[in-house]
Order: sequence, then structure tokens, then C-alpha cells
Amino acid sequence: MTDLVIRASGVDTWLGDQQILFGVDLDVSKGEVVALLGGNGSGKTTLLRTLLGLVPHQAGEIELFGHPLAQFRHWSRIGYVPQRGRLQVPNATVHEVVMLGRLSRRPLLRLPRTVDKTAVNEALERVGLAGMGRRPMAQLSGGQQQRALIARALAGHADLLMLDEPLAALDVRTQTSLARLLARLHSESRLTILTVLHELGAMEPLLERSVVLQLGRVIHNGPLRSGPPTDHCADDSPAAASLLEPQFAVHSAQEN
Amino acid sequence: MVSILALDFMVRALLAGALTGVMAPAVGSYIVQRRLSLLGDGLGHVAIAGVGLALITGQAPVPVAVIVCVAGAVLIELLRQSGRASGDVGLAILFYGGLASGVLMAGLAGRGAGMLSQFLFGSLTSVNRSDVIVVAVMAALVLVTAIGLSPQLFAVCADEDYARTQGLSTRMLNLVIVVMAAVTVAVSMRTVGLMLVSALMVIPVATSNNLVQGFRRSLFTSMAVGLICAVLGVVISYYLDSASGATIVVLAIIVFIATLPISTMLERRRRLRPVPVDDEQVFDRAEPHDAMTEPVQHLAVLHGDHVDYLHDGHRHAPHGDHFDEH
Repeated sequence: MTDLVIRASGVDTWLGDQQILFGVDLDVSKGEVVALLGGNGSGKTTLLRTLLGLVPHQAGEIELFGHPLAQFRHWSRIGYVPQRGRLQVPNATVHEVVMLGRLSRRPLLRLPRTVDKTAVNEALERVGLAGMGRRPMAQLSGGQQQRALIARALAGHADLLMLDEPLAALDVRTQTSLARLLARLHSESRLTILTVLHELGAMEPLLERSVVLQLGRVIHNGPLRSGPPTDHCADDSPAAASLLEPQFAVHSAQEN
Repeated sequence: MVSILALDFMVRALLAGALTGVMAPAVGSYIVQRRLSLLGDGLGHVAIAGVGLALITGQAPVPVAVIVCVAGAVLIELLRQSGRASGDVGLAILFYGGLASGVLMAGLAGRGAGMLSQFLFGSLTSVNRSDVIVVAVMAALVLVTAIGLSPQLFAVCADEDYARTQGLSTRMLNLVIVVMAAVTVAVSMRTVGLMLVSALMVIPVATSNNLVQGFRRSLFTSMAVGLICAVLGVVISYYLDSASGATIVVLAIIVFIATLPISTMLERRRRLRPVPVDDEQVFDRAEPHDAMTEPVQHLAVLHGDHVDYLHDGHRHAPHGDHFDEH
């Protein structure tokens, strides 16, 4: 029985007439905390969306929990936490947003049962938003909204969290607070976490491995300490690329 | 009121108006959430093509308009999903193609553009028995769908990508929304009119957002607001001898404006309710804490010109390097 939660090999993804990902390989094992790092346009968000089937891939294979992506049906096992800006909820309450996390466990036309409401309340409690269920989502601070989105992912009892820049546009204190929350969730339930990050920031202590993308290719896949300086990842300029190349040549030689 | 109910055409108009008043905001709740408030307007123009087609072929306008409007809506949604037409370009094609072809066909059928105004702005005397039956059947279908599938439809409107990761068929659900909108627009032509039905889809939703919090509460409140505005609007238009659609919409706008002060008052009360805040925000201002522990949360309460924090049953507020008991 494989322990791989995500297995991707040779993945090519095109958006329109532009190729974004070039032969990307990525394995994530159960219980791992992995960061997808890279600068703007590196393809890290596209990779996450490709793994979720939100963007079609033109070549390569993707498996989730041992099932090919096209046949994957156990969506309740995956908790996707998108960037906050994608949410359009002018008047929805926090409880309603988090209840969306129960959708894959509820048949059509069935009203929420006690088990659904309990799961939502427990998820809110786990992220520190107990008692906030009746608040309009739009009235929460950025950090609280991010917590609510994590609660939504937890409400379905997911064992894989896939986060897209969870710390973006938050102040340093809130970033630290959220990173601690994710660390606690990981240690409590051995959640597998794959997160897109623009920079390591407060997440660094939590991460076990980093996968660095540059212009759609994986240029590093290994322990964080041997990875490239974070500052360089935030820049896709030729100068930054030239700085990175020697390091990754060393990595490639070691891995081979 | 009794004398109105003695008139058969008014009973039919009230029935059609009530059904329209309930179904338009039910669909509108999803349209507003998806920020497609003008979709109903575009579909109204397509329905005019249906009216023109009915006039030229000698068929009843409402069923033909329903079919044409649904076909147009599905076409535009499929084009949007395939990425061949952006939302606004698709709507522009709906607007002008539908309006022009409808007027053209009405002219060819020997009816002037002036005759179309009863479909554009509503006309009480034009509601016949078969219209009421079509409206009732369509309203039942739309309401069952809008309420029964509300978790799934809400999910698609709130966060389409997330809905897909929950295994929902977002393409199908998006189609359901535009088809419901198309049906609502077409069957509303006798009461609110094709030009004004979009207002009845949007304004009661905005009104309910002034009064209640939460999508589901807002959905049902908007349906109640729509029902009241439509029925009262039909009655008033009888006494004023005015176009029913215009009367209903003006009434809906008056109700919306009347709820604005209530919205402000409710907002003020909500701000006084306790809000959990990160402990860090409190302690960093007044006392050190263990940086390695995850912050717990306390409730914050607005107290005059400052914020108190609820802690173990008492309220305190940061003051310099210490906390005051309040």
C-alpha cells in the first residue's frame, strides 16, 4: 500500500497558448509538510490548481491517494484553501462559508444534519473562531478570514490541506499566528500539508521540504535547509536565475 | 380590495404578480452573489425575440419567450464556459441581437414597436388563464430548484473553484442558474415586464441584505420583500392606472431606501457585540507573553472610546503598561 498522497510525474500544463508547467514531478507522502516556492509567474499556483484538477494538464500523470485524478472521487479527503480574494460572499455568515466544507459529504437536497453542524462548530473551534459563526464573513479581518477558510477545509475532515499563499497580504503578527495554527493542526492530526508560498516567512519552522519552481520547472526538491535563499525565489529575473543555477547544479549532482 | 378580487383579470394579475415576486428574488440572490446583476436585463432582451417570434407564428407569447430565452441563456453560458465569449461581450450580444430581432419580427407580423410596450413594462389586463398556469408551473420548478439546491448553488456563486474541489459539477450548476434566470424573466413579461424584471431580481436582494445577515436568511427575506412589492404594486397600478412593472419597481426602490436607516442602526448594534480578537493584539500592548504558544482569543467589546476585553468573566482594557478592570 503506497504512502503517497500526491504523485505527479511529467506534468505539462498550458494556459491558452502559453505553456506554464514543463514536465513537473512531485511526490508528497502522508503527514509531510511541503512548500511550493517560486516567484511571480513561476507556475506554483498553476501546479497546485493542476493537482486539484482545476486546470487541465496536457501531459503527464497525476494521482491523488493512489487514484488517477480523472477517476478521483474522494474529495472530502482534500481541503483546498484558495487565496482569500477568490471568495465572493457579500452577505454570507462564517458558518455558511465553513458549511461548504461539508458539501462533498452531503447528498443533494439534504438539509444539514447535526453531524454537519457539529463538524462546522468543531472546525471553527480548532481555528480559534468559536462563537463567530453568525458573523458575516466580510466583516472579519484578513487573518480571521484565512482561519475561516482553513476551518472550511477541516469541516469535511480532510487529511490533505492544499493552501494557496495562506499568508499573503497579512501583517507579520497574523502570519505568525496562522503558521502556529497550521503547526498545531499538523501535529494534532498528522495532516498532510502542501502550501504555495511566495516567501517562507513565518511558515519556515513548520516546513519539512520545499519544491522550488522557476519558469514552470522544478529547480529544487528537497529539505528546506539545502534550498535556495528565499530572497532569490521571489525574483525570476535573469540575474536571480544565474544566482540560483550553481546551487541547483550541485543539488542535481548530489541527487543523481 | 374586495372589489379588485371580484375582477377576474385582477385575480389573475395578482396571482402572476405574487408568483413572479417570489421567484425573481430567489433567482436574483444567486445572480447578485455571482455579480451578474445585469444578466436579467440581457435575458429580457432575448425574450423580446421570443415575443416577436410568437407574434409572427401566431403562438402564445409566454411559452415561446420561455423557450427562446432559455435557449439564448444556455448558448451564452456555454460560450462563456468555453472561453469564447467573455461575460460582458456575451451580454452585449444578448442585448442587441434579441431586441433588434424581436422588434423586426413584430414589425413583420404587422405589429408596431408600440404594441411591444405591454411586454416590456407589464400590463394587468393582458394576463390570461393559460399565462397564470405557465407562470405557476415555472415558478414551482424554479423555487424547488433555487431552494432545494441552495447549498450547491451558493457554493458555485461563492467560490467556484472550491465547489469543484468538492466534486460538484459547476458547469451544470452554472447552467441551472442561467436557465432559472431565463425562465423567470420570460414568465414575468405580463406583470413586471421584460425591461424591469431584472430590477425585481436585484432590488429585493439588496433590501434583504440591509435587514438580515447570512445568505439563506437573505434568500427567504428577499422572496418575502419581492412578494409584498409585487402584490402591492399590482394593486396600486390598478388604482393609478399605471404600468404594473413600473409601479412594482418604484415601490421596491422605495422599500429599499426605507430600509437603509435600519441597516445603519443594525450595523451600529453589531459593532457593539463582542468580537474575538487574537490575544497577541491585547498582550503585545500591555504585558509580555510566551512567544512560542499559540494565541488564544478573547472577546472584544466596544466601551465608549476604547475596547474592553472579556477575560474570565470580567472586562479589562489595556492602559499603558497594565490592564484596568472595567
